[in-house]
Amino acid sequence: VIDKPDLEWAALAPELIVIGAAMLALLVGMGRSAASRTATIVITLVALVASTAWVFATFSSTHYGAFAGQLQVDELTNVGRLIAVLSALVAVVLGVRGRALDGRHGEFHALVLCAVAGMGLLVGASGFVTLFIGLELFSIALYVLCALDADRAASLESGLKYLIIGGMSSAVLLYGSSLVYGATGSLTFAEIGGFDDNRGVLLFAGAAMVIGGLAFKMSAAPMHWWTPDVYEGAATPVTAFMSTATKAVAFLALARVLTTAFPQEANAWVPIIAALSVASIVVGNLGALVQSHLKRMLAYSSIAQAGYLLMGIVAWNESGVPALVYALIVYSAMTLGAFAYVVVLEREIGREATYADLAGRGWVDENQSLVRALPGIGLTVCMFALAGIPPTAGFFSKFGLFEGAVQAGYGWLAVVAAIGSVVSLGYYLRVIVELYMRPADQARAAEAAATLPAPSTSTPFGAGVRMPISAGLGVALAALVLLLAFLPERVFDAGCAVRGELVIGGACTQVDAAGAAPSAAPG
Amino acid sequence: MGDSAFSLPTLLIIVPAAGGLIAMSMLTRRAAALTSLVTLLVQAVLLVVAAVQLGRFADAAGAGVVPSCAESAASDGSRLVLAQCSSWFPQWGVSYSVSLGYGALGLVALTTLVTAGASMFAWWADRERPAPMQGLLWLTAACLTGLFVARDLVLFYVFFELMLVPLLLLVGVWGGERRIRATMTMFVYTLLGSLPMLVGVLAVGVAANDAIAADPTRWADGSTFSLPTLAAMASDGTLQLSSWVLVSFLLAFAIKAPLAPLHGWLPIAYREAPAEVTAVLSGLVSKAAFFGMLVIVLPLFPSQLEGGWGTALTWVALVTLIYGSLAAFRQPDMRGVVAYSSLAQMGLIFLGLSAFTGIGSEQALSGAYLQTINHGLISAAAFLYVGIVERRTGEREFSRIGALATGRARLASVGLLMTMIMLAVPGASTFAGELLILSGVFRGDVSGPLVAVIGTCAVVLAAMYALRLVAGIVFSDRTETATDAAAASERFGGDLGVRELLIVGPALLALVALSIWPNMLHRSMTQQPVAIVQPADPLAAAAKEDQS
Repeated sequence: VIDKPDLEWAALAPELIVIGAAMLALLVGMGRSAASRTATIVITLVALVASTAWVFATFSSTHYGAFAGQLQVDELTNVGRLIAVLSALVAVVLGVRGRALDGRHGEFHALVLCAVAGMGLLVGASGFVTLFIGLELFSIALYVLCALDADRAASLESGLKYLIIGGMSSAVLLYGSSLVYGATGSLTFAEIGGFDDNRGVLLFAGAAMVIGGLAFKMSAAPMHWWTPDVYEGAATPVTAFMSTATKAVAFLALARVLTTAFPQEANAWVPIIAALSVASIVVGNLGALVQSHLKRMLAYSSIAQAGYLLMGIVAWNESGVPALVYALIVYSAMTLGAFAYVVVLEREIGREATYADLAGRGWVDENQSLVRALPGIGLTVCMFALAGIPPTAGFFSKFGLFEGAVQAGYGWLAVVAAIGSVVSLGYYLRVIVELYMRPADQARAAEAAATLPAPSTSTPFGAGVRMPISAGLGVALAALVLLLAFLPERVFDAGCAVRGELVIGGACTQVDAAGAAPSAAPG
Repeated sequence: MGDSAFSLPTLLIIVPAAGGLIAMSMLTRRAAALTSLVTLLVQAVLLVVAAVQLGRFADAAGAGVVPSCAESAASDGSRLVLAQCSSWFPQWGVSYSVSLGYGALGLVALTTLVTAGASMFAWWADRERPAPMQGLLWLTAACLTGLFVARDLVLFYVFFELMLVPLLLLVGVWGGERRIRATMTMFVYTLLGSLPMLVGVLAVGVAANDAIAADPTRWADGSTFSLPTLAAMASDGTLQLSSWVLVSFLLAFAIKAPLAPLHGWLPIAYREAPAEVTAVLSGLVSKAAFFGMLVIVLPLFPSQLEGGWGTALTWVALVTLIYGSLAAFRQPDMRGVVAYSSLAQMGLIFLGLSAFTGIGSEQALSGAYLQTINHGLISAAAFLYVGIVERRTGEREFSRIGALATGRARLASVGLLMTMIMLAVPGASTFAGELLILSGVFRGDVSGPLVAVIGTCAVVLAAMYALRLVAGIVFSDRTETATDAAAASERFGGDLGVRELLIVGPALLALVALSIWPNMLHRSMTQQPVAIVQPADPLAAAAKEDQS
């Protein structure tokens, strides 16, 4: 007789909320009217906000072994959920005025919500079954999202590429977990981690394939080559969502799998992760240098950033994982901020944005409101943050990752990352050079003014005073990037959870074997 | 620090930062200039208060003592304290620790004075987009002030990198034709030094954690990156650092200063930046490298420096001094002369730093400190003076201008005064600085008489380039055709006006005052560099107290 598993529905509430909303959004979004579109957006936003609120309210409450040991809700899960939900929120807001989604608003919002649910499952997974279900749930949603801008061939190409590569990575991950099952006879991470006999080649091959499968999702080199094309082809709000939420949850899931299921093989996988890190830093930074389109540059930049983030997993049993959690939050904020500016710019020029389109946009005329300078300043802050210049949170996230690597004895990796950061200035700085140091192309500006019927009042660069909501969002995200540099203790605490530890008295403390309660011994 | 107390170093950072941000958001040129003026006045008042406080502290506790956070708070119950320690990133052992000791006050005063001159120049030169320029100049000053008062290694690093941001925009937006190339060159060069230094900082943190773990009770109250704690650890050998950590710091500071052969960014950056920004770069930013050497490299790496690296530093500094002097003499343009003379002077200052041990160390270090202040003032004044000539005539090269003295008494007098201080005539404070450095180097353990003799000969070269500079502008006529000189002279117009004198004057007056009354740099201030490098062993000091 199989015991009825303990179904803790509360543990799954944030996912249930968004899945319910996804169905509702699909139904309401069937209409083609403006009212249907507005209703869909409202439903989506309400669901995302409700999910966020639930996660915040229950941030520190933990559920171990829910759903027959398949789901684990702790602070790490909640951090992953928050990144996914808030990225989705940003993506939805960025897409509000998007042309790409005309007539497809139902699908867009339902798919974004499904992806959020899948991401929540992925970071909460405490076994390979849940991990795979979560991965597929958000991956399939993303394949369609990439291709959703179906009027553009590039978007279809993007969706198709992502589908093929993504399918392959899922297969690799699945095959890896089957090898692990073959070696240990278990699919839950804790049992695999506790399995003591015969941890041989089979188990290690499985672990390597799991790393490979998740590395596709985090676009770490050499599993990165789909990234630039897919990011460029997809509608920019979708790209923004993919490049932050997908990457963040893949990192958190990998950190959890490696540290709970394969802690005994650390000597073997740490060098692999370090090699992936170096490859990503080199490929991402060199690739980004030669781009002319902003989205492609951001795609390669996200590969390079994945390299820095991997340093947090290299230093998994030192200060690395708290630093990784912090860095993921900062990375999401600064990347979303940069994409918000790209969205506004693309909407204004009506095509893909290049560096040249930025020329002179940072300045405002003397008779214009200074508020119009804010989007440019926001982009500047995000670029400095991505480059790791203080006092932005980008510096402190890099500082934490570097410190983790140095403490773990990987000083050379930190040196490689430092040199990579110098190279990265070549493209991050170029944005600032264009914004402030080159004059605006007068001929192009005049031409644009002549062909357009009237300047839109809703752009930060047009005649009106209003700032569009996307630009405002970008400014808010840039402010967050500055704010996160101060007092991020809460963020750090969440990092302890990845090692099955709880925060007691400001330090990570080991919990007992049952994983249910903290041990009495002080940290 | 009590809750009701205000920490002066923090205020000294906040005032220019806030002033800069406000100035940036001003809509008119006049409003921005007014904001700059108010910022300057508030900062000046704070500096006077700080000087009085430091004087009282020094009188109470004796010269050469550096106020620590606890001492400063407990000293006299004043509501304006000279140091502050707050936690910032406790997980990483990073604290917000600032102090006006260690000679920081003099450097902060220098920062304020030079920034005021630069800001006035920007206003006089009627730059495009005046408000952001004023704002960015003060933001640079805020970053530099933060760097000079930082007592935490990570905090120092944060300001070291942060000051690049306003500088980058100042050069890139208001620079000459090749400004973007200059910006990129400067930024990439500097970060090529400072990012490896970040790894070095982290390695210091790891070593400090080991030292704390080995003896937790002794280091209980020090956070990982606190510079006084690190210095105390290094002085008794508990801090184990490898040589590559030292190299990462040396490289960063040698690029920032710069020292030959790492000065590749200097010619283009000093030439393409607007004159007032060059004054800041040469007068202030290079001093960040000096300060980094003083508070980080010398205290933390005594054994490595005595074991060969100090000798290497000595010879690099000497080569920089000679190369810079000779190159300055050969430059075809006015700015080139000042730029390379700045390189040479940084070489001299680093030469003083390299005599950090032995009986000459006290002289050499206080000499290096004095010369740092001197050079900050004189190079800023020289760049601003040259900037005025450039702006008025529209020419940069000696072959197109000359003999501007006729009918311009003030231009000639200011130029002559500047030259005399620059070439260090006896009686000038620059002479005192050079004398202290060279006599310290002569008796130094690492450097020795040979280095001192070569250095003395090289210092004489200063007379060559300094005289050539003033002669080329003011007196002699080296223009290819007489019409050139006449045209340049005509474009130059009348003698220096009140505003131009206000730009160059304060720095020169400060130098004259220093020459007459060198004790203005309080004894405790010039002695403190020595106290940092050779800290008293806290245990020994405690034992001494017990006995007495």
